[in-house]
Amino acid sequence: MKLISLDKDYSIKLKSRVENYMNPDFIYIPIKNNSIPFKKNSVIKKGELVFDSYASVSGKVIGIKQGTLASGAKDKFLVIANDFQEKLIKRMPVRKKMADLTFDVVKKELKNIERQKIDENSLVEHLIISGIDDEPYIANEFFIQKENIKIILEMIDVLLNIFPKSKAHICIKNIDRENIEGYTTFLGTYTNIELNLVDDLYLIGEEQNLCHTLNIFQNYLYLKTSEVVTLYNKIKKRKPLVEQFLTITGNAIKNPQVINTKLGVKVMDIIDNFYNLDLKDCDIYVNGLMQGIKMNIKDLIVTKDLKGIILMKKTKRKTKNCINCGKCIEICPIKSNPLLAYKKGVKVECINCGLCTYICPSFINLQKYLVGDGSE
Amino acid sequence: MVVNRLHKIIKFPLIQKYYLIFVFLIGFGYYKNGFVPYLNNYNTFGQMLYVFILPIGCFLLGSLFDVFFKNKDLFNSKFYSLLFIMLIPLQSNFFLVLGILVLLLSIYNFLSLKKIDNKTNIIVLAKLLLVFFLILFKSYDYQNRLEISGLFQYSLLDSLIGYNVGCCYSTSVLILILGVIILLFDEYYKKEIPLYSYGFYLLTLFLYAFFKQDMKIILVNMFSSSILFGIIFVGTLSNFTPCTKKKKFLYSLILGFSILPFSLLVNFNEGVYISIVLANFILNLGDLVFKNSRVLLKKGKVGN
Repeated sequence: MKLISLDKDYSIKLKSRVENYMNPDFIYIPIKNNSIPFKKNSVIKKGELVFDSYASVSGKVIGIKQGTLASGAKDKFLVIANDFQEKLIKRMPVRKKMADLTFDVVKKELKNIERQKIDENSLVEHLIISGIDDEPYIANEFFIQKENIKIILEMIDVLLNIFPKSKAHICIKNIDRENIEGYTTFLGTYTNIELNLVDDLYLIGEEQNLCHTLNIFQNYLYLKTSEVVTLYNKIKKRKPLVEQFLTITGNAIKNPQVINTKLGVKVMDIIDNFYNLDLKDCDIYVNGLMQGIKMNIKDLIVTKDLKGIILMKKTKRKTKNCINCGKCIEICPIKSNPLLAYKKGVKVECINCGLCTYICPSFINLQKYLVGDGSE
Repeated sequence: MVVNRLHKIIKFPLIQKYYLIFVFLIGFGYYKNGFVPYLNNYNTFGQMLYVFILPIGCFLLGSLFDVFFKNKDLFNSKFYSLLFIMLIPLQSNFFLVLGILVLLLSIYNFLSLKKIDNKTNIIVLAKLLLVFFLILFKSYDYQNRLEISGLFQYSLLDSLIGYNVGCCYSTSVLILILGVIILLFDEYYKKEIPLYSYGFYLLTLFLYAFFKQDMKIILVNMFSSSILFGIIFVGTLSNFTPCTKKKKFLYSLILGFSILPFSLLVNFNEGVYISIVLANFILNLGDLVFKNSRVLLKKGKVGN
């Protein structure tokens, strides 16, 4: 698959440090299977498993509300009012030694990362650690690495002990100067960890493309740096996933930044806290301008799937009629035919990479015809 | 609909490249067919002015159509009217040209308005219709007044510069070659079509010259401005040509191999345009015949 570099607006620059939003008034947890084992005023402790998620604050259940997920789907959410006391659920103490960790301990956590199918008999010769943010303007992986380089290296070292004949490849873009410096400072002590620099190409961070770049096609375990940090927190600190990096960026706001927020927070609460913004003046994309969807974020809740909010000034650029140039067909990574979907409504395969929309000289939003595009 | 997604920044769009090349071609056309005959007293001042004003007037007419029909196309009425005017024989009756141009723009805008997916090259059809009427009214002649006098003959070098008998504003082979080089660097230009079709055309030319035992035929005809203009600009119009590699190859094959036969059978100025119509027709017919089986069998992964 031929990868390309995207034309970006380099005037959109993120703040150099991560801000925190750790004291929301309410959190919202998606309800599963329509059954609610919690009554009103039930006390929830921080870290308690509520449906499929862990409560990121302690407090009382106050009711149920409609909310929106990152996919655009509407869902019911259990609302918990934060008591700001951070009452933790009883959990096991911090693991002191990581070096003698066995595969069984890690296996359970790896299962939560859906794409991994590793068992004790699997031969793992390579650990591919992707520190790449493919989606332009979103920089969660970048900042996760910036804040947690030592943790990442420690966890990779642990995994290398579990898979003794393996070698680790940390892959980051050659433009990530800060992280390159960070890694080169600490990598000297780790003999089996290699830093691989890749070009700034769209979708280079995808498993298939990264493996192709490294010439590794089998016996590997692919993880993102965010997943490595989550693994570390779960195994060492016994801390469940209750926080998330969220990029809020775009040319409609003055200070684009990455925010470390609790899961279950309403996105509007974060935006109101950091920005004084009238959302009517901008187009809002969730999870990026390439693969994300345009939607109304009034009831959007921060979940694991939410990576970023892009707020762009409304533009006067209009779509024109298709000129049949065929670039969308040429650029499609899976050799699909977006033109058939656009012109004849035929359902075709699509991985929602956004490249067809990107390359179209008539500014046609082909994704709308391929996967649907929310309110657009 | 207004969009705000990430889009490729196109600094120098294809349409602007076309206009740039057209300006030079039209400029040379005006010089060769208007100014030079005037200097040699074969054109009156009015006739010289006519050659200058004709493309400007047609461009403005195209703009009127765009405004009236609120045309949103990248390749709009202005572009097609300019392209059409570059194909006309100089001695064409003005009202006939105007009538056919209005007809062409009306059909094009109607199809565009109704969002009808038209793949028939209406520019070529308009040009051939004009030729038909010119032949009918016995005023079919590509020569300007200086050339009609028959006082001199053009050399090969003259032909390369642009002094040859051809369409009104597209005779300069040098500008055409420079133009195609500019276009080849544009990623939205269907470069496979002129490259393959010219290659196939050269092959047929070589075979013909070998058969006729006269290699001069190659030199004379490989830089024919009509054929070059037809291949580079008219035969590669994005809206009327295929998008996938296989279909572009097939289209180029038909186009390339049929240019010489039609040029010999009909006329060297029209041969390439009849070939474009043929290639266009065959591919559209194939699309129609195999449409359903293609969609069912290959689940939308096959090219357009």
